[in-house]
Amino acid sequence: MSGRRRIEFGIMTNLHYTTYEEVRAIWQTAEQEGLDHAWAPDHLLPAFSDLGGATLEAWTTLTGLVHEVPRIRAGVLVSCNPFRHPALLAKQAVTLDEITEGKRLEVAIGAGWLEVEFRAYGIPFPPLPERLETMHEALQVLRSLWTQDRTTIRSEHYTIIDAPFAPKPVQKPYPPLWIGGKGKNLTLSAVARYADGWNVLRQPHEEYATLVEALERHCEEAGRDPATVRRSVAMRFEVDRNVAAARARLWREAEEAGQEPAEVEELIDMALAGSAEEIAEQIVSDAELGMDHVILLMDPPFRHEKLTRFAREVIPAVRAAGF
Amino acid sequence: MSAQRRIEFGVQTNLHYTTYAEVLETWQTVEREGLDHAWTYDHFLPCFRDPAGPTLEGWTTLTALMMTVPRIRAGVLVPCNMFRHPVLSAKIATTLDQITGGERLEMAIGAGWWEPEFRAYGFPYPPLPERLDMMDEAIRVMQSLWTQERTTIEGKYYTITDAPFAPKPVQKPHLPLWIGGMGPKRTMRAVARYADGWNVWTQPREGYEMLLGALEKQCEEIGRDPATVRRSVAFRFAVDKDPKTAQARLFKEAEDADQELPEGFEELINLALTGSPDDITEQLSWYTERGVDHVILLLDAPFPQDELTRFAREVIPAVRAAGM
Repeated sequence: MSGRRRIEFGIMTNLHYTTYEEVRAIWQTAEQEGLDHAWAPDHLLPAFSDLGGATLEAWTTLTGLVHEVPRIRAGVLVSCNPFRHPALLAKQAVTLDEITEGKRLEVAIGAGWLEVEFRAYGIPFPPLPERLETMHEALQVLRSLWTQDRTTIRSEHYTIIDAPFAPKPVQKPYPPLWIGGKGKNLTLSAVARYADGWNVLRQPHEEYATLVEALERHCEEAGRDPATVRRSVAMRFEVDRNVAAARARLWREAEEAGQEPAEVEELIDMALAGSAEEIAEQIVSDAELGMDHVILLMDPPFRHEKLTRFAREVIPAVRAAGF
Repeated sequence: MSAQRRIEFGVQTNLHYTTYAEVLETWQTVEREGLDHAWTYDHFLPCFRDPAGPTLEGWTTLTALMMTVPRIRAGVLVPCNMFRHPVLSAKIATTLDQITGGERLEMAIGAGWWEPEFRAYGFPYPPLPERLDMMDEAIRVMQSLWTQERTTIEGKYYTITDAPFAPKPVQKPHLPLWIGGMGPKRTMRAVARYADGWNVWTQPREGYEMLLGALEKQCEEIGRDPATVRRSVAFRFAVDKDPKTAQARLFKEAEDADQELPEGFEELINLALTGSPDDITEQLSWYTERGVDHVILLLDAPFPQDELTRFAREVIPAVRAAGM
C-alpha cells in the first residue's frame, strides 16, 4: 500500500440479549460521536451465550435503525448466506438501497458458522468447503442480478433462468460488497474475485500480515490491483492507561454478557486494550498493511461511555498519526 | 354473524412498477384520510405485467413504511411461505412487532402462486397440495416458536429440535394471523385451525357463500365458533355516480398499468366496488351481513391517489352513516 487512506471507524452491535431501543441508543451515540458506520450481525440464536436469550432479526433491525439514525453508513455484518436465497438477499439490498437513496447501505456476506442455530432450526449445515462453495455461487448470482438485464446461472446450488431483476441498486455498480473470514484459500479468493472489501476479526500482527499477503496473491492471480480491496478489522476494545485493568474490564464485560470464557478468550486476547496512544499505535501498525476500516465490537449491555472515550481520545490520536 | 361490526378500511399497494417514494406517498394518504390499515405484497417479479419491471421486497418496504407512517396497522399480504424458512419469517415478524411496540403489525401467510418468479429464480415450486402442506407446517412452526419456551417439531418439511425462540411477539398470544385464499378444503381448514382472519379477493356472491359455508364446516369440525374468524375481502374500486363510467375507469387503470389481463379479469371488474357512495355502501352491506368487517382496497401503480381520497371522503362516511 502506498497512499495512506483515512481510516473509517464503526461499531458492530450484537443483537442478542438486548432490545431494539438499546441498539438504537448506541447507534445514536456512534453517530453523535462522528463515527462512520454501524453494523449488526445476522443470527437466529445468541452467539457464545445461553440460547434462551432474545435475538433480533438483522435486516429488519437495520431497516428500522437507518430511519432513526440518519447519517452513518450501515449494514449487516455478515449476512448469513444459507438463511436467504441470493435472490432474496439481492432484493432486500436493492430495496433498502433505494429507501436510503443510495447513500448508506453496505452489504456483507458470509458462509455461516454458528452451528447451533442451524441444528436447532433444521437449516442445512454442510461442511465448510461446501458452505464456501455455495457462497461463491451466491456472490455470482448477486452480482449478476444487480448488474445484468437478464441472468442465467446454472450452478450446483442455484438455478437462475433468464431472470430479470429490477430495480437495480442506486449505488453503482452495487452497494459496497464485503466478505468476512480468514480462510486463506476459498475466502480470500472470493474476496479477490467478488468483493469491494474484506473483513476479519483482529489477528496477531504477523498473522494479519500473512493473510494480507495471501489476499494480494489472490488479487494478482485474478488480475486485480490489491490496493482496490478495502480492509476492515473488527475487535473488542477498552481504553485505560492501565492495561491490566483494561483486560480485567473486558473479562468482566464478557462475564456480565454471560459469555463462555473459552469462546471469547481469543477475542479478548486480541482486543485493543490500553491507553489511547497505545491503541492508536496498534491501529496504525495494522493500517500500514492496508487496514482502513476499524469495527468496534460491542455487546449488550452497551457501555456508551466506553465508546465515547474511544471516539474522543483514540480517533484523534489516529488522525494525528496521519490516518 | 348477528351484530354488525364497524368495517375497517385499508389498502394493499402492489410494489411493482413503482418506487418507494410513490408507495410512501400513497401510505401517507391512507393515514391522513383516516383509514385503518395498509399492506404491501411479497413478490420477486411483477404480477400480470412485463416481468422486467421493478419490484420492491415486501418486508423491507413494510418496515421502512411503518417507521415513516406512524399510526395505521400494517402487514405484508401475503408473505410467500416458499421464499423464507419459517423461523426467519417468525423472527422478522417478531422483530418488527418489537420495533413498532406491539401496536401495529398484522401477520399473514400464503402458499405462493405466481409461478414465473419461482421458475426464474429457481425457488422450489411443488404442486399446490404440497405447497399447502408446507404452509400448514410453517404456521405450526411459527405459532409454536411464538408461544412456547422450546419447540420440537419433526415435520415433513421442517425439523425444529428443542429450539428456544426469543423475544416473543409483544402482541399476545401471538401476532394476528391472516390466511389468504379461496380453496374450500385445504385453505379453509388452515384458516379454521390457525388463523385469526381470512382474506380473499372479491368473489361472485354464490362463490363467497360457498366458501363461507366451507369455513363454517371446518370450524365446526374442530369446535371453533366461526364468528371468531375475522373476514376480509379485497376489492378494486372506483367511485362515480355513473356505474358505467366507474367501470370504464377501472379498465383504463388496468390499461394504463399495461397489465396482461388475467382470465376472468372482466369478472373482477364486475365485482369491484363501483358506483356512487350509496351504491358502494349497499354492496358492502351484503358482505357485512356475512361477517365481513375488513375491507382492502387494491391499488396498482400508478396509484390513483384521487380515487382513494374520494373513497375516503365520500364512501366511508356513507358506510358509517349506514351503521357499518
